[in-house]
Amino acid sequence: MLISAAGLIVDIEPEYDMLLSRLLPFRCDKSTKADIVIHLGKEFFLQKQKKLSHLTAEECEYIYTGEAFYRELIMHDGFLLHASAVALDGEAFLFSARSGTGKSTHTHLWLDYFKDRAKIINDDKPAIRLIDGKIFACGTPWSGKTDESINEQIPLKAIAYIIRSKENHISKATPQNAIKHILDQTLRPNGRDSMQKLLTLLDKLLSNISVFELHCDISEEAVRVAYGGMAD
Amino acid sequence: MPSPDLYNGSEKMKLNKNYILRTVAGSDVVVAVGEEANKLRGMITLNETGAFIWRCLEQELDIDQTVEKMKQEYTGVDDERLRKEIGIFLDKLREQGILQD
Repeated sequence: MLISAAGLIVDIEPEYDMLLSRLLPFRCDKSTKADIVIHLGKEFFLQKQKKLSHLTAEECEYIYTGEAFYRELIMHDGFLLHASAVALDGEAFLFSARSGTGKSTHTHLWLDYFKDRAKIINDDKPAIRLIDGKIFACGTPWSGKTDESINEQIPLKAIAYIIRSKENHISKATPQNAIKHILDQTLRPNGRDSMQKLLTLLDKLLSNISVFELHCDISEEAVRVAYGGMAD
Repeated sequence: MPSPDLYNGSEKMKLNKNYILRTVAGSDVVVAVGEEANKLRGMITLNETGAFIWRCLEQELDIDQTVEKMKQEYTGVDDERLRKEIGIFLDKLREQGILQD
């Protein structure tokens, strides 16, 4: 089947229901040439599952098709950021951190605080993509444990790297720290060419978008501090 | 600790191809790919001189040629000091396995 995600047409054949259900909101009815083809085959997932016995074959399909998508994305001016992405008044705010820090907790505080003005774009693995010179945060069928992801591309306003703290404050990351945070929370390219592509993209990203370090707890004040720093 | 003056002026230095230098947001950063990515998970930030020497190595210049190029870039610095600085930088690269023997 064909899907459209992050502005790209993807040709992908789901074997199991989990992936299928995540793909359906992204289904594309036009018959057009695909930008990315992901045909890994059932045998591949069964082999993976043998090695990763804590996962089911359908989970393996979901994880490895996602990895294939994000590896290809680099060749199309985009990359994965391990983050929870929230849209507010039509602009995207991304919160990145190591697993277990509370990315999703923070963006859900935004939903509570801003109500109908805010919505989740992708709760765990948004694509960031340069389209016609502008940078967008995009929902994709791959969003980690939850299915909170929408089929939209929303102009990216800012990225914050979350550090858990008892006090709430936000500051701009130095360019070195911004690069380090992003490289830590993306799918690192293995090859020279794809790494070059990613670094070129990061250079463009960082000349247009600010990256912050957000020290926060899980209060309403955390939302006000984050928004106050990032929306300027 | 090897002494910087171990380097012979006409010695060719080869960078390990699995390290990439790029200027990103005004910073000169080195990242690793392939097998080396397991050794360097993050990145190295180079100062201006380090990045200049790195780019000479990319062009496969030997030490004498690198010194000549640096003299054009940084006027008023004597040969001996440049050779010493290059030697220290090369030692650091060698320690990290970034220079290939």
